[in-house]
Parts: sequence; structure tokens; C-alpha cells
Amino acid sequence: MFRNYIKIALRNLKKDKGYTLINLIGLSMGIGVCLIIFIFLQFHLSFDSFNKKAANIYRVTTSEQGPDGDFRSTGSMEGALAQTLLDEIPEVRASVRASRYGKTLITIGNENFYEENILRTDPSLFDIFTFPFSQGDPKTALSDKSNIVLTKSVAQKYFREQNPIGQEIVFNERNRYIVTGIVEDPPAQSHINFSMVINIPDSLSGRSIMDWNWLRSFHTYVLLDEQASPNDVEAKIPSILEGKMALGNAEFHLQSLTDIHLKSDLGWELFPERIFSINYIYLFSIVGIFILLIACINYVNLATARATTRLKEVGVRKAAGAQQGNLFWQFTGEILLLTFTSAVFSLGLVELLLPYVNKLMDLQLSSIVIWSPLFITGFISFIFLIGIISGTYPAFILSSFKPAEIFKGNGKLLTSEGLRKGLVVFQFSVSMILIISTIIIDQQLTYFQDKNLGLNTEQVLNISLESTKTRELGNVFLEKLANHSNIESVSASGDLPGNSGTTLYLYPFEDQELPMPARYMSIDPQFIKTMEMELIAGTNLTIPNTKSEQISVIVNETVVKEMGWKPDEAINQRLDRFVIIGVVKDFHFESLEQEIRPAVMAPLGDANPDYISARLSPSNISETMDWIRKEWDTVADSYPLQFTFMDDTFESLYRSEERLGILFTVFCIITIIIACLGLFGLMAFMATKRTKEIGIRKVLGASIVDIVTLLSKDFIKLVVLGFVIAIPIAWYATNQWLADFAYRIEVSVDIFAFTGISAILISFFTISWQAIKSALSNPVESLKSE
Amino acid sequence: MIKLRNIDRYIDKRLQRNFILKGIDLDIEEGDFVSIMGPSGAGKSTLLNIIGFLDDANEGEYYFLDEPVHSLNERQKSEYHRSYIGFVFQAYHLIDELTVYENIEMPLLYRKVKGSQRKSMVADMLDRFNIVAKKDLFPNQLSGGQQQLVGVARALIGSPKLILADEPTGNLHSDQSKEIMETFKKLNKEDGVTIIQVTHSDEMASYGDRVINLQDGAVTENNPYEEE
Repeated sequence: MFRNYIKIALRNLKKDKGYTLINLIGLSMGIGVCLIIFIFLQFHLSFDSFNKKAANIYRVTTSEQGPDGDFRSTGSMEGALAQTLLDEIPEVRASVRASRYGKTLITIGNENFYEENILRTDPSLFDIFTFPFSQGDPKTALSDKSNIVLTKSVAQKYFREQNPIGQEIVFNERNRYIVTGIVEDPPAQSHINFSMVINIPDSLSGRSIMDWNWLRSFHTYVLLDEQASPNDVEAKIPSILEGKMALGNAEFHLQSLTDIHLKSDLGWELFPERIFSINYIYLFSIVGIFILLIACINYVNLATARATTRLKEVGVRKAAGAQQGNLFWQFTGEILLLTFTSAVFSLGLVELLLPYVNKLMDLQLSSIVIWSPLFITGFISFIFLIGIISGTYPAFILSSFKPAEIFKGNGKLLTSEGLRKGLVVFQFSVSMILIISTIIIDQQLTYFQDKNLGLNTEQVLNISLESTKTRELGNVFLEKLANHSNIESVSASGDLPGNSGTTLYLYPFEDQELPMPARYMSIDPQFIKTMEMELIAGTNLTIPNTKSEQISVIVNETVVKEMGWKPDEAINQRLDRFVIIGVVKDFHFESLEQEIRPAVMAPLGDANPDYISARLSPSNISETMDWIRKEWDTVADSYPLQFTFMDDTFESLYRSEERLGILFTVFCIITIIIACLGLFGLMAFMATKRTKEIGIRKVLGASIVDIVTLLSKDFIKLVVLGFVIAIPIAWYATNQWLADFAYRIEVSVDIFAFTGISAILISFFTISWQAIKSALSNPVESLKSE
Repeated sequence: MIKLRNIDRYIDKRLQRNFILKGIDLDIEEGDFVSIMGPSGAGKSTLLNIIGFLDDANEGEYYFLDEPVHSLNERQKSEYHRSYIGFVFQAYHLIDELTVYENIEMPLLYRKVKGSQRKSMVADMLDRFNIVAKKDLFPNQLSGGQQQLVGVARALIGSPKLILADEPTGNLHSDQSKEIMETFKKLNKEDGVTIIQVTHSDEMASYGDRVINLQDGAVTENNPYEEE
């Protein structure tokens, strides 16, 4: 029996190759996309769970009302907190502090390098988190302040074949470290990332780290007893800290380790690039489900439409003694055969496409998860479910025909016409929502790139002077650059637009306590010119010759607006401890997601600059760059040149949105392909069914255009209806997304019109091939067959 | 074997009830070879379908082997259907995707006959109808008469007590028709299979020993020849 089913299923699938192909391609793509999304979700959802003690690890965070009234969450804690929690709360089994050491000059032998991701922490890191050692002992590796632990890849990079243990590494030409351990690289799914690990120093600037109320810069993690309740522990913290530190209105929370990646809302993360928004998880799940649904709908539509061709078989089988159940399972078996074949193809598709997805999204997704026995079991049930979902209805329809009616030739053949139309409308609504979203994401990103930033980031080279030594050489190098003919302008500064920067709380109003948070930058007089900012009132900064008590500053328009002045009125006004001498037009120093905040630019004076910015003339950039590199080497000797182009820096602020945009485009194309495949199949079927009608109409004088119109009209109506439904949903969804951006495009009617027209055109081209083919067919042929 | 009492079959239209069969009373004994005749639309096929459990009557009583069919559930009906009845159609109704062998084998699959036994039963049938050489061909590779032979073989494979044939020779030319009728006659006489056929042709009806005339959904003549 079963073999007979398989046999007839195979022969049927072979006989109607177009139908089989449409379903195979649609389902393979649908399942493939779902698998890739699954791998993507699995990657994000199981972040940090490689840690053996993950269930009992918590991060301490506080949320506190800032001076401007906003609540802010932070993970930066005082140095003494970790030890205090361990000493005073019995449920806390271990605690560890961690802070990220900025980009650091390291010297190995005679060579200098810059290394990022250096983690300053406590030895208990290796007890709480699971970072296995390949060399050295985790218990003693950080027992001395001069010890350093490297990751395997960093050890390989700097020491190659040599044994790294016992080698010396010098930080900032001052602090000497001896390598005492090698750990495996932190997994891609760890929110803590590092290349080197050192101890936290006992004191900074001559003051003990353990002093309360002065330095809050350590993310603090605790390992709780297995039975301990994090809520109870959380509740104990304030009373323990009472009298030790100024608590203010701070609330303490314990954030579960596995929540950090997706649910963190901290103002500042140790490794912000390892934080992801859970909203994207929801978004991708929904998109995946929809793509699969669209593929399933193709099957339902084609199978019910094709039911007419299977009716005779149903009748004969019933006459031969088959019950509805037998037939139901036979037809369900056919879809299961299709879905399982598609599933096999989709696995191949995933293996083929995953490298591209990784490249596109800058991820390290691995298909290993989909080869685990647990997943395979789940996957098989999932495929079975898809088969049942898409197969049940057609199988039920087919198996329920009464043989007497079939043989009489008046079986109700078009029972599912309404459903089929509804499903086509659904497919096209979803497709069009995706198209509209994609266009809007793309427009928003283009808007970011094209928006007048208030400064010109093109061809601006920013050289970062990372170490004390290079900072001392900054002004010498600046002189050299200033004299090169291909460099239009050079300036020095203590900060740059596009960096995270420093915020000052100014108290400009004499009668109010309310502060004005303002971005603070120290710049030299050439900065305004180099950045091509526009001075709209007052004068530029000059090099102060005397140390006066008042600091003359340039402010941005936002400051002036917030103070209720006109630009001209602002000149010579006091602003907290500053005197305003100039106003520049607003410029963006953060991502366009944020509104422009007040900014204050004070003279760099004779302080050593942190950055040198050079505006290069557009011609011969690579030559100029070569020259700059050469000059840097003569001035800075073995210190590597650290530079970025400013437009890149700004672009990188939108990288996650850009990736979202690319992914959406891909999904959009896949959805359209699957939906059009279905439409194509339906059209082909309808055209065959109406062969005789077309023949008669042609004999009676219908033109090709008449026939094409006749065949296309019904489908185009459905696409138009789908469009009408898509408009409000797409409108709402995209406005929700855009609401996150302070500077955004207006969703224009054009986008909707464009989407509607292109969807109608695409679907028209899809069906017109069939329509024209039938219209051109010889009526004599089609009528003879009757 | 078959006892129909006051059988009605109708379709309700908006304002009126269209009767296809009205007040049919009919008895058919085991071993009969009955021909149902009558003009188009008289309800011949409907009557055959009701007898063959493919359609249900709206009113009336139907006893099959003294079992009240009108009060059987679907599963029980299906059991009777499988064990006692074979169908032969005017348009043959072979499944295009199955070979001759597989078409004949199909009813056995629904009777859950074991593989080895199926093989010998199908081989037997192929032999009996002289179509062994054609067993791997598909229906569209056969002539109409050959297709109908396969249809008959398929109807007989389950050794039914009753064969229902709806214009079995309607699509065949006279030589082929005779061959099929001879086969029916032989089955009826030698194996005692009850046969009910619908036909338009007096010649075909003459192979049987009883004729039932239907007109506008009612039996007008029962056994016209016998009374002659």
C-alpha cells in the first residue's frame, strides 16, 4: 500500500514537472531561509550559555535618575563593590570586576603594536566564566599584578612558533607583564571579548581603587549559590552599601548573564558590538514564518487548483474500495514527499549560502547546530508539520469528492476558489509590506549618508595619537602635514565628531538647578576650517596667550536655542564657567539616530592633541597617504600610524542598520520570487483549464490582447487588493521603525505608488508569459482535443 | 440479494424538488444477469451507484444480502463494498499513472491482501484475460477494448459476488463489445457472479436474462422479455 502511494506520488510529480518544480523551488527556498534564520536566532539566543555556570552568573547594574531627570542604567560599579558583595552576602559564591583597557601601545622585543580588547579583571574571572586554558594554570595565572594571560590567537600572532609562556610584553612603554597563561579565544557568543587579560591595579593616580565614592568603572559579576534567588540577593544590596557609598536614588539589579546580549539597556557596555536588540529577533522570526507560509500557500493553491485533474483517480479508487482516510493519507503523502525532498535541498542551500550570510552580516554562524541529533529530530517534525499544514486542506478537498458526482462530471470542482484568491491576496500583501519596508530602510540609510552633517567628512583623514609619546610628537607632525601641498588644512583636537566623547553638565541658569548636558571638545583654531563647519556668529578661537580665568568657547546653535538667544546675542555671554565668542551652525557629532545635543568647543591651548585631522585635496590621495605614512615613520619611529577616514567613521555608526537593509532586500527578493512562482503556476493551470474557452473565443474573433486581458484580469485584481491591504500595515510598521531616529525621512506616497506599480508589473509579466502563450495557440488544436 | 423498497433520490432546487429516482422497488436475486435500460436522464446510473454504495438514497430502504444498507455506517458500507462489489465503467477509468498490472492490483491494496498472494492473484487475472504481455504498459498504450478488459479484470480481482457495469461497451466497437459481453456471460454462468449492467443497446441487453426499464426515475417494465 505504502509503496503504491510512493509510486503514484513519484509518477504524478514526474508527470507535472512544472508543478513539482514550482513547489520544490518554493519550499526549498522557504525552508532554507527559515533554517538560516533559525541558525541566526540560535546564535543570538544562546549567547553566553557556553559558560558552564551561566545559570548562576549575574551582572550587577544600577538604574539612577540623572541630573537632567532621565533614568539611566549603568553597569559601571565602584571598585570595592565586588569584594563587599562577596564578603557580606552569603549567597554570593564568587565575584569579579572587569573593565576594558582602551587601545594600548604594546611593545614586544623591539616592535610596537596597538592592541584593543585588553581586559582588566580579577583572577576569579576564570573561576566564574568558562575560558579554558591551553597553557598555564587558571588558579595562579593572574596571581601577580605583573602577570598577563593571552588568547591563543594573540599568542600565535606575536610569538608564532615560540613558547609564549614567560615572554615579556610592555604596555605603554611603562608597565611590564610576563605571560603566564594561554586561553582559548573567547567564543563569538561571549559578551565578554578579549585578546589579553591583566589584573586591575590596586591604585590609580595614587588613590586606592577600593576607595568608595570616586571611581565607578568596573562591570561587576557575581556567581550565586545554585539555590539562591537573585531577587533576594538584589534586595540585600542597598542595606549592605548603606554608609559606605552615596546611594542617591540608585536601584540595584542583578541581570542574568544570558539576558545581557539581547536585553541589555545599559548606557555603556564593555563590548557594545556584542549587544543585539531583541526586536530584531522578533522581526526575523516573523519574516521567516511569512516566507515559509508563502511557500506553503503555493502548494495549497496549486494542489487545490489541480484537484480537477486528480478527480478521476479519486473516483476510481473509491469505487475500488478506498475510504476517504486512505485517499487523505495518499495525498498527504505526496506533499510529505515534496516537503522532505525540499528539506534535503534546503539543507544543501544552507551549507551553500551560510558563508555569504556570514560575510554580509559579519557574523560567525555555523551550520553545526543543524546537524545535532536534537535539531534533526526537531527539523523532521517541523517538516512533517509543514507537510501537514499545507497538505491537509488539499488532501481533504480531494479525498472528500463523491465518486458518483465525479463520474457524473458535475463534482463541485471550484469549491476552493475563494480560499485560493484569499491566499494569493495574502501572499502579495506580505510581499508588498516587505518591499515597502526595504525601500524605506534604504531611503533612511541614504538619507543618513546624504544629509548635511553640518561638517564635511569627505577626504578628512583623522590620525589618532594613541600613546603619550605620540601625543608629544603630535604638534611636530602637524607642522609637517601643514606644509604639504596636497593637504588643504590641518588641525589638532582632543576629540572628534563621530567618537563617543565626553559630556559636561553645565549649570548656565543662575536661578535654576537644572543642568545642560553638553558635548565637550577641545580644538585648535584650524579645526572649524578643516571640518568645514560654518561660523554663523562671533569669531573663531585664537591661541590664548595668557592663562585667563575665563575660557573662551565656540558653541553650537543648539546651545544658543536652548538658552533662548539669537546667535548674535550669544556672543560674550557667560555659559557656566565659559564665555561664548562664536557660534557654529549645528553639526552632527553622533549618529543621526540621536538629536543634536548642545556642544561646547574650547581651545586646546598648549595641551598635547589626541587627534590630528587633515583635509586632503581630492587628487592623488594614495600618493598623499604614502607620503603621510613615510613622514609618520620618520617622526614617530616605531609607533604604528593609527588613522581613519572620517566618512568611514560616520558610516560605521549605521552599520547595523545597513546590514538590516541588505538582509531585508534579500528576503524581499526571495518572497517575491516564491510568490510569483505560485502565481505563475496558478496561471499556467488556469490557462490549460480554459484552453477550450480560449479556442472558441478566438474562433469567434477575439484578439490576442482580448485573451491576455481575459486571463490576467482576475489575478491583477488580487494583486491590487493585496496592495490595498499592505498599505496601512506597511505604513504603521515603517513609522514604528523610523520613530527610533531623530532625523528621518518622511514616508512619502511615492514609495507606496512605486511598490504598487512594480508589484503589479512583476505579477503581470509573470502571468503574461502564460497568457500570451495560450492566446497565440491555434484554436483548431485546442478544440480538436474535445 | 438486493432488495430496494420505495427508494427516492432527489436534488433540492430553490423552490422545487427534482426527483432523479422516485419510489423504486426492485428485487435482484443472486446469480441474476440484469440489464437496466431507459432513455438518457432516466436515472439508470444513479440507481447503479446507489446499488453499488457510491451514492446514497434520500428515502427508502435498501437491503444488501439482507443487511439494511440505509442504516449502515460508512465503515461498514465500505467493508461490504470491498468484499462483494466490482465496478466496470463506460470510460474504463483506469488510473493513467499506473501500469496494467498496478491497476488490476489496486483493489487488493485496499483489501489489505498480502504481497505474495496479490502477485499470484494478479498473475491469474492477467492470464485469464490474455493480457500477460501487456502488464507493464500504461493505459494510454492500449486500445479501448484492451483497456476495458483491464477494467473488467480490475473489477473481478477481488472475487466480487456482484459486478456493476455502467455502459461497459458504450465506447467500444461491436467486436470488442461482444468479447466483453461474452466474458460477463461466462462469469455469470460459470462462477455465479451477479451482474447488473446499464446499457442502451438491445443487443447487449440480450446477453442478460432480465431487463429493467427506467423512465423518469421510476421502473416502468420489469422483465419485458420474460413476459413476451
